[in-house]
Amino acid sequence: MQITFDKTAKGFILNSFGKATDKEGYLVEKNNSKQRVLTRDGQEITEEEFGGIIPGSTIFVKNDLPTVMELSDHLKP
Amino acid sequence: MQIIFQAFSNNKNITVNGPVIIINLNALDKNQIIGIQKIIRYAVDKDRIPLLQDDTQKLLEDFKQVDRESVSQNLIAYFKGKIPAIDIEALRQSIYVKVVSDRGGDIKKLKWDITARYGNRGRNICNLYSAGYFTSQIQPMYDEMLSQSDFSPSDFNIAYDRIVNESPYAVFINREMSNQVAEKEVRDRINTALNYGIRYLNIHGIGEENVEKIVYILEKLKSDFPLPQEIKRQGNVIVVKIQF
Repeated sequence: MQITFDKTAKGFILNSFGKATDKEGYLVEKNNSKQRVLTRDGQEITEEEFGGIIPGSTIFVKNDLPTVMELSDHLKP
Repeated sequence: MQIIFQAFSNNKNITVNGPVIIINLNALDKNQIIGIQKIIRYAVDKDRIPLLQDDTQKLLEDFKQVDRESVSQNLIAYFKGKIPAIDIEALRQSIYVKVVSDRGGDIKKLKWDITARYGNRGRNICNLYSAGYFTSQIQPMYDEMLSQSDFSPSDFNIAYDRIVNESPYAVFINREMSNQVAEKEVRDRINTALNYGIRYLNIHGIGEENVEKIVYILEKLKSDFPLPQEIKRQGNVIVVKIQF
């Protein structure tokens, strides 16, 4: 099964996982707006860059080519 | 089966189109939203299903397909262990960028993504691959160096690093160029470099024929650019750094 969302549903997806967006556009914890969400390699991530969530401690990923290459190596077909 | 979440203003909450179910979040009531949130959290956490934006999913599927093709597989297999692992990553992505470009697709963001992650080195790898230099220059350079009895991988690493780090200041002399065309190419590149305040150029050549061509060019340039030239030659691989 494949589950996807389009740009219009980004807010809903983030909210479902307890995340919000701060004034600068970065993803933060809903219950602690000073705590920015980090990608697996420690980068902060903006809502614009947000590409989804993958299993394994709920990992937030960017919508960019290097991330997609990593996903292609790590996600099962 | 594929489930797509959207938040549109129409009043249909669920659309079923074959194996694709589109859920319009705007048409759901509060309890339904809470239920859906529980389901998607469960899907990611327990069923280990990725939850990707549609653009990311499309890019992933397209990348996987290109990455599996033999052009990509063969080139990556060749360079694995010969160049740094991080360059292999940039090269895999550069192959994808070239395929998208050849299809007439927009590669601006893809190239930006590579530069953002790997810096100028990533951008140079992308440009070198796109210009065909990995197969026309770097691969033959390795093979040529390997054929030398005194070959050391570090010699290749130095030559490769110079190409990748300094590719914007490089000109590659190839078999198809006549002496005159090669000389014109070098002079044009020098003029371009001077316009941007760049004071040097690396001239690369592989094979006896191209080495002779470079010797011819250096002779021609000598009167205009009398500054010392740095010449590195190993067998039939030559790199000349000229300053001006």
